[in-house]
Amino acid sequence: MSLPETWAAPRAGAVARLWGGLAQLVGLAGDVQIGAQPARHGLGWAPALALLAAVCAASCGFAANASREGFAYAIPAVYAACALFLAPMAARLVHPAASRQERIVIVLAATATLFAIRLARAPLYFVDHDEFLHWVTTQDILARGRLFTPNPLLPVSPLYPGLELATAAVATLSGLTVFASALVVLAAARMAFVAALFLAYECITQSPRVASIACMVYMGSSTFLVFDAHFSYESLAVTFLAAAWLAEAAAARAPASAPWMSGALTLPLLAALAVTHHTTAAFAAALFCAATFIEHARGAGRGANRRLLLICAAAVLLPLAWSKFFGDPTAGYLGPVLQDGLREVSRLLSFAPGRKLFVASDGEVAPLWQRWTMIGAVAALCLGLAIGFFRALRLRGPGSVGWLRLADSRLIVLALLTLAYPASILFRMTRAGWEIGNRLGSLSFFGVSLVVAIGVAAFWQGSSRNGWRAAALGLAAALVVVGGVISGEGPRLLTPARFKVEADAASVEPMGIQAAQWTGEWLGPGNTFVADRINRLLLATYGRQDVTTTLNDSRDASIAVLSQTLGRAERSVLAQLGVQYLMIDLRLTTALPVVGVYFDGGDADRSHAAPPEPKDLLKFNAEPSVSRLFDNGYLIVFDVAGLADAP
Amino acid sequence: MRPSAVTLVIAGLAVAAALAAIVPALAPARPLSGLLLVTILPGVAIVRLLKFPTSDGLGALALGVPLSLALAVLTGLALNLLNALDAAGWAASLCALTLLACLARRADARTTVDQALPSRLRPGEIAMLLAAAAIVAGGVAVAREGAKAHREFAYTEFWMTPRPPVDQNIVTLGIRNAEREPTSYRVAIVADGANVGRWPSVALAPGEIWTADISLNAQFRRARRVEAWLYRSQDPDLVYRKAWIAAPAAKARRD
Repeated sequence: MSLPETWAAPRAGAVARLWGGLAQLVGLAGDVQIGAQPARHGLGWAPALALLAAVCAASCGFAANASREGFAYAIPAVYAACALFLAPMAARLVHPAASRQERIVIVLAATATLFAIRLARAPLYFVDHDEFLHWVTTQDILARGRLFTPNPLLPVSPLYPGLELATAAVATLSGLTVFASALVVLAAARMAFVAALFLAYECITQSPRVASIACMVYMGSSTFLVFDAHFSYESLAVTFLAAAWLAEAAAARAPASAPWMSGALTLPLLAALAVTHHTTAAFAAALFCAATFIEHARGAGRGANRRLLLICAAAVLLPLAWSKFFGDPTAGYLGPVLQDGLREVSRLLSFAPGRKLFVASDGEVAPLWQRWTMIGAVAALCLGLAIGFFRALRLRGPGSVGWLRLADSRLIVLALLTLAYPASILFRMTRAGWEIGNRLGSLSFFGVSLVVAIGVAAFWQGSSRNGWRAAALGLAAALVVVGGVISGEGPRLLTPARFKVEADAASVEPMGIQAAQWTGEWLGPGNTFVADRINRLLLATYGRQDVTTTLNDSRDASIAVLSQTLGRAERSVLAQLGVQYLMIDLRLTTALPVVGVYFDGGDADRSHAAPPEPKDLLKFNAEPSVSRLFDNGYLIVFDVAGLADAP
Repeated sequence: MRPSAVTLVIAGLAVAAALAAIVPALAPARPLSGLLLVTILPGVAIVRLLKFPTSDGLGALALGVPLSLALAVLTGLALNLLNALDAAGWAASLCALTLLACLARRADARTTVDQALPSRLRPGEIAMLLAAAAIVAGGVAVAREGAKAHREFAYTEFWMTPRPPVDQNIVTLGIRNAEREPTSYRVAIVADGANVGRWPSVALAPGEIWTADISLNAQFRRARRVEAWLYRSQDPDLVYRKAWIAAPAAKARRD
């Protein structure tokens, strides 16, 4: 026996055992069992857990008020309240003894509680930046009775009017305000989304236990609590996506049902999705194409193939047709964002200096406990993915083939989708790519949540009835959800006591709203205004003014405001944009902008070392042809229409 | 075949919601009409019509609600083409969709047995779920009241504007007291440095507004700038707020 052989021979048993152990651990070997659903009925612990969740949600209402009063404990209290109800709920879902009805009620109660917390965060009016963009489109539909009117804040928004149409319908029929109507639409969409997710996962895995755990893990997406529940088009789009996925998956499990039935349900959903949100529609097309391809490769029946092919064709053609009808408006909008994001990721991968992790643009550092929670959540998810990935692919099902069981094409697609999760983390570690990472993360969570749930049901808890094990997993699930919320909102979850400069939700307050309303009342609507990032949102919505933006006008008006003098270039840009009024916010002089820019991030509005000087913003006082129409001590409105004719 | 009770209820609610949206006498019920017609009824009616594999209670939520919203979106596109994006258009179209689906459904044949919720909830369970809903609503109400009461900034608004529609011979002065207490003000009109008018005492409670019109006579129109200065009685020498109209700007607007 040669040395390599003698060297190898005594170790063969150890190596094989090691590899065998690893293969068992990650699910490459051994049988994958997720346990049968108990035959019991009844709500079990669900009502008590719902009551606990309600008390936690109510405490978050008090915490929101405490935050406005400046109490530092407010935000940690909200996160603690979330963990307090999520951990026992998750523990119960993980345990094999819970009935199907109990699981459904727990999942829906958790969803409703998180939505109530989102509502307590902003109970009176819209506060998030993107909400104003879509509010403008909704107002235009209500005021003018027609679609596709220009929106300078987000030119692409009127071209994807799904959310605004549904909201305008509620407002028109009910007589409610846009804010109240939006809440109706968002609440209905949110509950339906989670219900659809549950049923879709259940269809695919034939396990309500896996479905319920997956729904709970999905709540750990960084966009679940706020971003996908606020008044922006993807909030409705993901609901259409989940429902279409469910309709197709359910039809696949019921071959006896008429093939046109799933089309009758799926096609209107895909059509509505195509006119609601471009990115989610593209994602849906990719999902259905992947499922069709895999179904075909697995040799599925002709009926199933035809049905999926029809749905896939609709998912691809409908958004393409809509986009082409409007001249592909997303290219100029999404393209630069994607380019900048990819550029920063490549710099990150080459170890060039970039964004500091856990540090906001204004220099605020996330508290240590938040950083560790986020890291812990990502680690838990990665561990869950490592354990669940191959188990998901090897899950036993009616269509299972071979060692790699590949029970269901949809399950395979969702399992492969988890590969996007690491990419989303990379994007989130950059400044320009953070938005891409945020959206990519939430879309990849469709797969992440299912794979992690399979891992829990097949390995971590398995069929064990050990309550302590379930409790530990419940804590891990709570860590994932709270970590997800922190990574999406962090220390800015609640409205702070003090106004912050260009801090989106922390900059929207009654005085700015009142000033914007004054312009509508005393100057009339439809005037061309220049204002900073936050005040132009308020002017466009509360004041119904036409605001200039770089996105819409391709000219940067901020130089006229931020420059030290009113020279030729400044006058020229105001004249070319036809600006009638400026709203100057003197609070900009008190701090750097939290989001990094005061206006649109033009040449004069980047990498600020210090806030602008008051004398720079007030240079218009000395201009003979400028009127100063309004002054509340913080906000000033200048009439600059006369500048165009001034010598 | 006779329609089932559920089908009748859906159809009845659709008609009632549509009427509530457009008949003034039914205004108290109007807030529910949007909720029912946009988010629930059309989609649930169609899901029940198709007897889809998951058309039980949870299926109605999971598929019926998104389908209702989708139908609202697609209906809106059609109404836009017909110039009918108003209450009557929405009410008629969404109600018609719902009624068509109800009419097409022949009978309330059992599909899957409704497993989403047990057929009977125990009184204790009902009590806990209702209590949970009430507590959540209370928490949101507490947050609302807190948000309404929170005012970081106390200030006074002062303005001087041409009276809309633009009339360059009259400007309106205005004061709005957004301070935390009643405040007394003094207003002075200054044209090219010369005092040309005043209001010695304007007392306003918090939230109160005062306005006055100034006619710009020939003297004013010759001035380079007509200014209004606002003082507070507790600090009579400090100009608290300033506003002005530039005469050349008024001329430009006139031209």
